[in-house]
Formats: sequence, C-alpha cells, structure tokens
Amino acid sequence: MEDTAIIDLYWRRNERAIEETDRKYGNYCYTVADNILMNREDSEECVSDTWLRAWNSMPPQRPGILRAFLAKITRNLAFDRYRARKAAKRGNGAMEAVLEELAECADPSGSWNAEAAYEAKELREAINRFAENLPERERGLFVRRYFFAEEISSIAKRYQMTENNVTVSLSRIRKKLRKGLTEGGFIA
Amino acid sequence: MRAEDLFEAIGELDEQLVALSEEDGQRARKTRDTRDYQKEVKRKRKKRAELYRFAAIAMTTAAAVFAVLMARDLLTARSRSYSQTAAETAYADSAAESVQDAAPGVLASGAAPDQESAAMEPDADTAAKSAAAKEAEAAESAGEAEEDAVSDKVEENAVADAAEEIGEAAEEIAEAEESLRSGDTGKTAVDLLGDLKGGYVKLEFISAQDAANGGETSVPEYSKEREEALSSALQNGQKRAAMFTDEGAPIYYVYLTRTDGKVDIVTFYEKGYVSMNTVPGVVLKLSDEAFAAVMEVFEE
Repeated sequence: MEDTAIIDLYWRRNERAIEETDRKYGNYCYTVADNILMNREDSEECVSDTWLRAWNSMPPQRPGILRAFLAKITRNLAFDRYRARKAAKRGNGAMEAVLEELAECADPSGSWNAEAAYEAKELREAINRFAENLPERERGLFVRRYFFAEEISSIAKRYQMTENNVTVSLSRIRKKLRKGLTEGGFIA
Repeated sequence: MRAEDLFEAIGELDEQLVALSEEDGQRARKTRDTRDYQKEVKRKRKKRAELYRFAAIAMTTAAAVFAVLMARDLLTARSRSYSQTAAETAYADSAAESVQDAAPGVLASGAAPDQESAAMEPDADTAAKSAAAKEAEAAESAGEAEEDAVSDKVEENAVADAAEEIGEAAEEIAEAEESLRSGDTGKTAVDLLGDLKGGYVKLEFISAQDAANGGETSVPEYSKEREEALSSALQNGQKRAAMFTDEGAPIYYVYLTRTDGKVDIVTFYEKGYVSMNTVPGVVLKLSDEAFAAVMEVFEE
C-alpha cells in the first residue's frame, strides 16, 4: 500500500492503518530500535510504542516521508528506553560507543540547558544545517551512525569501505560538528 | 550539553535529510550489489568460457587421436593386405616357375623322354614337396584372409583377389604335379642360353644352307657344356657397330620363341660375328674359341 493511503487511513482513524504500517515498516522500525537497544523484547515493545505514537500524531501531522517519520519516532522512543535502562544499569556496548563518540562534541561542564525549549530548538536547527552542508557520503555516514546508531561494520559494508576508513571519516565529521557547535555557542 | 542531549537533538533531524541519507545508503548498497552481481556474472562467464575451451580442446584431442588411430588401423590393414597379396603373388610366381620348369619336359619328350625323366625325378619330388608345403601355407593364408574379411571390410577386396590368385596358383600346381607325374621335365634347348634365357621358352636352329633349301629347324640337346659354351660366348662377345664390320656370310640362324609366341632371330656369321634382329645396328664379336665352341653346339 502506498504511504499516502496509509496516512489517509490514520487520518480517517481507521485501525487498518496500524496493520498496514506494521506490514510495510515493521521490520524496518524493529532494526532502528534494535540498533540502539540491542534487545529483541525491548525493540519489539519499542516498535509497538511507535505505532501508538504514530496513531496519536496523525492527525494533526501529515508526514512528507512516512518511512523517515516512523524511523524518527522509533529512534527517539528507543533512546528513551535506553536511557531508562541505563538508569537501571542495563546499558549496552554499542550505544555506549556512540555516546562516547558524541561526547567529543559535547561539553558536560557547560551552562547549556537542554530543558530550555528555545535552546533545544536552536540546537536542532544547527544540527540540521550541519547535516545539510555535509557532502553526500559524509552525511550518509553521520546519519547512519548518530541517527540510526548503526554498527561501524554495518556502515562499512553498506558503503563498501573498510571499518578503519569509516572510523576516520566519522572522526573528521565529529570535528566539523564540534567546530559548528562551538561557533554556534552551544559548547565552549 | 551532554552527549545524550546531542544524540537526542540529532534525533530531531529533518525527515528529508534522513530519507536522503537512507536513499544514498540504499543506492550505495544497490551499486555494491550490482557490482557484486556483475562480478559474479563475469566470473561465471569466464568459468563457462574456460570450461568451453577445455571441452573444445578435449574434443579436438579426442578427434585427433581417433583420426590417428583410424589412420593407423587403415594403414595396418592395407599393409597387411599388401604383404599378403605380395606373398601370394610371390607364391604364384614360384608356382608358375615350377610349371615352366616342368613344361620343357613336355617339349623335350620327343627327343629323350625316358632319359630326362630319370634325370629330373629327384627335382620333381622336391618340387612336389615344396608345392604341397606352399599349398598348406596358402590354405592357412586363405583362412587368415577370411578372418580378416569378417573383421575388416577394407580388406575384403584384397582377400577376394588373394583367394582368386591362390586358386589359380593351386591349379597351376596341380598342372605342374600332373606334368611331373608324367615325367616331362628337365632342362631343354632354351636353357642353353643360361642367364640370357629370360622370357624365352623355345630354342631352335637351322643352318643358312638348310634355310635356303627350305629345310626344317632342329632343337639342340641340352648339356651343361653346351650351355657354358653358348651362354658364355654371347655374354662375353664384344659389341661392335654393324656398319663398320664385315661379318661374312650367315651360317646359322637360331630362333628364340618367347612366352607370347613371338620369335627373335639370332644370326651367327662366318667371321665370328653374331647379330640379333631386335638389336639392329649392333653385332657381337666372339672370340675364336668361343665361336668354335658355339659351332660345336650346332654341328651335331
């Protein structure tokens, strides 16, 4: 079924919308969640939560790209679940690695307040601009690693690069991001 | 700002950018898959080409080997057929010789049959034994030829010819045996020519005087001494051009009959010269001793 037809079902509040979404994007969303959670049960629950969140979002939202819209919901839900699990000391190595890498671009001692809606919005816009300005290949690597939290080996296979090459490229991207965030005043 | 805050902020990336990156990744994967597929196809094609090449080489080699074996078989069969035919021909010739040896006895029977028969009896026995042995060999050869004919059609004609020749040879042997049994054997006047006998089967002579008077030819008796005299005289004579010699008058004419019935004439002249009608322009000069010995042969 076409994405527009599925979105229409959501808007008509037809429960078949979830059935069709699960049929078309079930595996995809499960993969996104599993990249972060690395746990089958948690990932399946995360996917179910995604369908609920999508049901509640449409309407009023009418996503341009349903696939990316669902990936975003799944990813954020998975990350929330990850944080909750981490609080309960049940973290996993893969996500830890991603956060460690991103820590290079963060400033835990800074005065930045993530709770402040204004600053959060500013940061999202800065990251979007940064991603937009990246060359195609680097943007792909950035999204794969820091949006989908994909493994280095998987990215290397997808882009036909060596793992070492991917690691080096990601390191350069992070340097650029840090520079951008510094210039934007998000970090010192 | 913590790393988790940054990760969360990245989670709010524009959906278009996410989709774009995904497409890029999918394209890369597709390109890789296509490349892999092409590589695989290329590899398979190469392997197939290699297999085809090997198959072609194998088939060509097999065909060549087959051709060589066939050629060898044919050559072997032909050479066997030839050697068999040659052997049988040789055998037939030897049988014919036996017949020829035996035949003069018939011609000479009028002169001294009992004496010659007695003289040739041991030879006749030997020839009969030899003929019987040859007949046995011929029968064996015929048996082999029949076996080969069954196994190889190529030899069929050769074997048929051989069988025919063997049949003819057997007939000749039978005739020879019959001739031997009747006692008509031994050397005749024509054997006086010795090694010069060649294809002649009969020798007669007549003096020039008798010839002029319409007399009849005579057949000289064979003896070793006479053969020695006549053959050595003719062999040792010196060739001269007839136009530069004065032979004198002819004194004897010798008629030599060939197997086909044609007759050659040898003329002996009074001054020791000899000429032959088949060799015009050339005469032989005999020594006086040789000439005298020859004259003794004709002067009975």
